[in-house]
Amino acid sequence: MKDAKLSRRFAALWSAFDYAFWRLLKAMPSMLLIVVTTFVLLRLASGNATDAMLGDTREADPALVAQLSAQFGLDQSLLTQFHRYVVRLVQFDFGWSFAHERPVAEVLHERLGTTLLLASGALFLAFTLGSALGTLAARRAGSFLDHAVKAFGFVLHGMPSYFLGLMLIAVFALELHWLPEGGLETPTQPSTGVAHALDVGWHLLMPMMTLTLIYLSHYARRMRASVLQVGRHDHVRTARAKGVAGVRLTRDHIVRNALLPIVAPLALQFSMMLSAAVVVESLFSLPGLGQLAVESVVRRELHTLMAVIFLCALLVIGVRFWIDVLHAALDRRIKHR
Amino acid sequence: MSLPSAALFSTELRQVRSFWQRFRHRPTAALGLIMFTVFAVMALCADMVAPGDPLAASGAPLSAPFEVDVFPLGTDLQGRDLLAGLFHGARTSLAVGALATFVGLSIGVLVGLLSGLSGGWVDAVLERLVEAIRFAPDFMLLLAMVAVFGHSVQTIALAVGFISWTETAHRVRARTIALRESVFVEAVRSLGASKATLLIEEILPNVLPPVIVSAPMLMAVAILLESALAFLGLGDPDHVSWGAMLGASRVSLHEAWFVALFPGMAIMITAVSLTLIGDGLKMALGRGQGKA
Amino acid sequence: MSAARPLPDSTPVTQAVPGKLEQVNVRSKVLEIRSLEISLPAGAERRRAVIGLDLDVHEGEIVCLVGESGSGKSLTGDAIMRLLSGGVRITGGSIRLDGEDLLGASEERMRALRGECMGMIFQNPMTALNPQQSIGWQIDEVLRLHTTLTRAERRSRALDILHQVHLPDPAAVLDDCPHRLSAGQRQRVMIAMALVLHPRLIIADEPTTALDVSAQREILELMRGIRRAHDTGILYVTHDFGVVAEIADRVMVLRHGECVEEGGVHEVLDSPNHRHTRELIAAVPSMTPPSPRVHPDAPVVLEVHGLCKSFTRYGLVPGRIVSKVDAVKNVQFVLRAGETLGIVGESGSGKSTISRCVTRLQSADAGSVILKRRDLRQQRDLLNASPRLLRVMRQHIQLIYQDPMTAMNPRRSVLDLVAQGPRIHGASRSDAQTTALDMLELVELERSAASRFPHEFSAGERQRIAIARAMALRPRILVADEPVSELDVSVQVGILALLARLRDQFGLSILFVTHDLRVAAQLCDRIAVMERGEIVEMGPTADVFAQPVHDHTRELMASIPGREWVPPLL
Repeated sequence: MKDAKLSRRFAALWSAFDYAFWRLLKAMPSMLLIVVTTFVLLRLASGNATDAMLGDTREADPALVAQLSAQFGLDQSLLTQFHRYVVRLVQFDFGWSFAHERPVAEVLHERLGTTLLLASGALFLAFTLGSALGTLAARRAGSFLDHAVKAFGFVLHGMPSYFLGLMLIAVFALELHWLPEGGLETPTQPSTGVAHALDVGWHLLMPMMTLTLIYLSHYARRMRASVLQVGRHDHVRTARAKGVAGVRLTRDHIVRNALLPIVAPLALQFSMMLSAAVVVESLFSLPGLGQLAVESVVRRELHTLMAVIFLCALLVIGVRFWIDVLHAALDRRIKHR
Repeated sequence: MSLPSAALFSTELRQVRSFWQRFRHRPTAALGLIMFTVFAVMALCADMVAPGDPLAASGAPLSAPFEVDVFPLGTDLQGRDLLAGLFHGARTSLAVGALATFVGLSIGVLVGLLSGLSGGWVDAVLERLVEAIRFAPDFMLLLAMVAVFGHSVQTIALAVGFISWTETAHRVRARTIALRESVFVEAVRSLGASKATLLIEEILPNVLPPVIVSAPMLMAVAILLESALAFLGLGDPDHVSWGAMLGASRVSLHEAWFVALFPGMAIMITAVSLTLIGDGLKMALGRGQGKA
Repeated sequence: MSAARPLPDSTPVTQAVPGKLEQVNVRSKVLEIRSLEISLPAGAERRRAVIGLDLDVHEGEIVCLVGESGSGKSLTGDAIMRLLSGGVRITGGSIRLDGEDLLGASEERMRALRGECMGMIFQNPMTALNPQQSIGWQIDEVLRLHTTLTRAERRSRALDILHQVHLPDPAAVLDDCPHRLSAGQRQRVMIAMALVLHPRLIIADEPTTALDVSAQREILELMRGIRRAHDTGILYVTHDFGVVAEIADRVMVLRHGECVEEGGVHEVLDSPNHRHTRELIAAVPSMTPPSPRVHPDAPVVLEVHGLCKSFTRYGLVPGRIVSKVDAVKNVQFVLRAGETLGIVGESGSGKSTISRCVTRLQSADAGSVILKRRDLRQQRDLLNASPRLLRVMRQHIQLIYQDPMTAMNPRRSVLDLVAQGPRIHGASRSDAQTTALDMLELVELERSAASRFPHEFSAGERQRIAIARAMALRPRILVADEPVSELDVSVQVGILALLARLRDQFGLSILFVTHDLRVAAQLCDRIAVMERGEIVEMGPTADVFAQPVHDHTRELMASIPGREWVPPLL
């Protein structure tokens, strides 16, 4: 009997992965479109053709680069160029960054961690804290807490993340000197081990707080609406007729169902988080992908920017996959192939 | 026949009037409308209140609010009048917001309708396109477009419009498909209506209102995007922008936090007021559906 | 008022059993309600939903609470369990469960009582179960809350109760999630959940209204079984007098929150006293079919040959079929001028698909639907007609939907809606509006209705508007897809009478799709019985009712609740 239960659980998990996998396949054309878009934009870019095309990773001498870019086929057909472009992208060869004097791929690799940490951390916190807050507000609908959450939500919804960041810096860093103004690490600290981790965390506190607060209100509002709606459903009434109440009712019957529509769009929100991270990273001088993107625009290194976009699109697809798995695992109604 | 025509006319009028009443009576929506009007007026009167070039240095740097008579809100690090900046910045933000929203909504509605009505491979292709842009980080795409096409105000407005149409298209498509398959549209079809009649008389009037209601929210997002761009120093250097003012204030933050406060509050209040208006419109629309 | 006054506790209760009058020994009172008053929040149609209600339910007794929508019957059930919400409150009276005062009990006490001493079964089984938890978990929850049994013991109790409600393969059901079960099966699960702790009182709020006739019969049978086996008192809320005739021991009729009649089932059903009761009983369609009206040689207006329609779902890989449902299999029939043909069947029998294929709202896979013009010279196949021809033909055959609210654009005024048909076919605005006003008069609505909107009307009035809309095109054929299924009995009578009148006045042919044999008996000259996409029996109503040939027909006839009861002529 135990075996049957275990194998059923396994089967359910397997079909969740199956579901997510097929959805992933369906997202492939979109990925292709992103690649096409970046390619088109690169070609459209005015300015130095050498800048706009992927340069060879070994040569840094401009004259040689000019020669090689001709060699790499500016004069060849668009389709051939596109083909080369795709082949390179698939191998994660993004060319050479003159500003950083290193292969772009290397720069991306360095900065990926920071952005990933910031974005996923903020999303996770915003989601969990926001949902909890929203549930509380809904269960005490009409109370002071409820109105406070709603008002709080409205204000934060319109507040630009950088304004909030600036205010936080002004208060916590400049006035109170509790938190660092920016950057990822204190130069004087050791660069490995627990101390390092703590130092990084210390520096990430305000940026993450900024991002979390802005999106917290969004989740709180959504969850509140969802909980209120599910609370009116028939099956909740049935549960109450059985004598279920309190935390048990909220947890097993209401939240269990109310959470589903909130989980589904998480991947989209991850993408929004990445966007928001661009500004926050610049504000707090964090060496992440977002800041790299801004830098690339300033220094006219378009291919680096496109590489960042490509990488972010990949990240989003990865997140989509896992969110789909989660969603399918949570929602038993999803029929599997 | 006097009864039918009078009856019809009065019902349409009644609908519009009751919609307006519902909107008006919601306090937050009214508040939002008032706040937004203030900013709109500011944008319009910018030249009257603060003539001259707001980007030119006109006073001693970092004078505090009310310190100097001529500069009621103070000056920034470059000695520029903050009040002038606020007023002219309103113009930039609202103009960019309006243009971007218009572009975004138009493209979104067209693509969404096309996608929802055609079905088949047209729909599949358009859906993938919409999905691709929706799931890509929008601000990074904006950066890419600005890098490629330049950063004049018009370009920025168009670029913002270009990345924000996807949400509208997605919703319009969903609504169009739902309407196409809904029972009351089918009922009209069974009366013998042609596809064109169905589209014009039944589908469009039910698709467009939610789109119009989403316009204020879209505008708020557009303003936030433009300000973010300006904050990073990538906006139009020839036009004052609240975002740019905020960006410039970073350096002098510990001495003069008020330099950041005014533009920041301006952006925030504009965005919030638009959100409140949008919310009010949504409520007014919702109850007017007549779902008993 | 001749309603029998509720008897004090220890008086023997007469238990009505068909054909026999039995004095049962002292039965204790499970539920006692006195002077119950339930108030509605401000802005509701009336201030009080229930006024001065006195109600008793004894052990082993089924008391039916009957009334139309808005009579307060459902609220009474909710009030007993204290599940009222949305500003609805109990403002007077007393409710006693086995002598214990419920109104004064603490919320904690109520929670303990719910599920253990009183259980409730709701109307819509499709939404009444938590979609994310298995059946076993949901039944287990009741046991976990109210008992201290071990897990193994709980599981065996759950299996036992599922077996008692006649669910096939209880062990498998325990692990299933609700969406895998049919409506009838889900309703049994609900009954199992309510029953598992053997409560003293079960409140059933229209539990069979959303079910097919055959499922309904089984549930009613189950109810009787429960009453016998556990001596549970059952308060059964319903609007269907057939159900009352089938299972009730005592009946109470509610109107606008007040009890207008009460007594033993035979008393009330066979000799009702109050005007409202008499109205309701008179509105119950009798099972006596109409005498033949239409000459068998009348001209054919609609001919259907070899109609086939199946619904296939394709997988991601092109061509791979995930599921295929044959909704309609080779259906064939004719409809003559002035005749009403009933298409009867359960859900999934294909009757709705037929109505949609015949009106070309759905494409068919094969077959022909031939519409014959008045002069009989021309005939056209609807299914193969060009779009232009189709538009012209649509004038002659119109569909009336089950739920008129969804079929009408809520933003359009009634005048607009009714005039839409003629306008589409080229009538000028003023002409169309004149026609519309005439139609409204035809369906017995006031002219002032023209400027109002659909949501401002009652369900019955909306259906009249829908009929007016269809009639505006002066069709020859009317296809009615369950037009009265969602209406109260008294309103139903009016709509059926209207259809009959229009039929006689305009020589309409009606294709009447329904699941309710009683309604079919009321209006239809011939009926076709469908099962799983095929017509299994077809013939004059009188004949089919008297001598059903096919098994399925016999099954359907046998499932009609209260079929043995003949409503008295009032």
